[in-house]
Amino acid sequence: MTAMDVAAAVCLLLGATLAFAAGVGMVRFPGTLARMHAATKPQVLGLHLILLAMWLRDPSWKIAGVIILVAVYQVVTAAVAAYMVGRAAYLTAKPQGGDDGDDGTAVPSSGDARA
Amino acid sequence: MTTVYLITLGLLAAAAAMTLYRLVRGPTMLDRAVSLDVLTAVVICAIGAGAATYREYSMLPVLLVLSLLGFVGSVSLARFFSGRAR
Repeated sequence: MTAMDVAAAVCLLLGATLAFAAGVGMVRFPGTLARMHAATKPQVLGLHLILLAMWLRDPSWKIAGVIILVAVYQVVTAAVAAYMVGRAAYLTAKPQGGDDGDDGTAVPSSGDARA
Repeated sequence: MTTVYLITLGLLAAAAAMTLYRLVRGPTMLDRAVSLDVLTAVVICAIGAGAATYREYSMLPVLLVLSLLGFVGSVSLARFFSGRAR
């Protein structure tokens, strides 16, 4: 095993550990917003570590092109999807503010902004 | 490398099993959208681990398609189930 292989093995194990942590979070955390926090681990860092391990096993530009494309797609789409799901979860949840209904966010907590 | 691959597969399988539990239990549709997204990421991780272990890179387009598929799934679920709780 060369140094590249050792680095790839470490990346694989770290990425899989992050995915495992996300699985534990999906089971243990209460509420949709808390589970979204756990969901970001394998979606961004875990996946990027695995992709880095793939590149370390075969460091060539032919592989790197597709891998960089997958990484960029995942970062962009994970952010947009988390925004959509988080907004929907926030609007579906019960209002948490004081008596004037202001909970410190710009999103109206009543149901009228539910477009 | 085979030992590392087996440990990685075990961790990923445990993660997929716990994500599937949340996918079945819910309780809201948005929870299912989130866990579907995580399941897609775990599947990409598993395919990538296999590719890294055996230096077999023929499944790279599959990773590309899966990374976009999870996005479409969770966004459409969040779009359609934002008003209703279940």
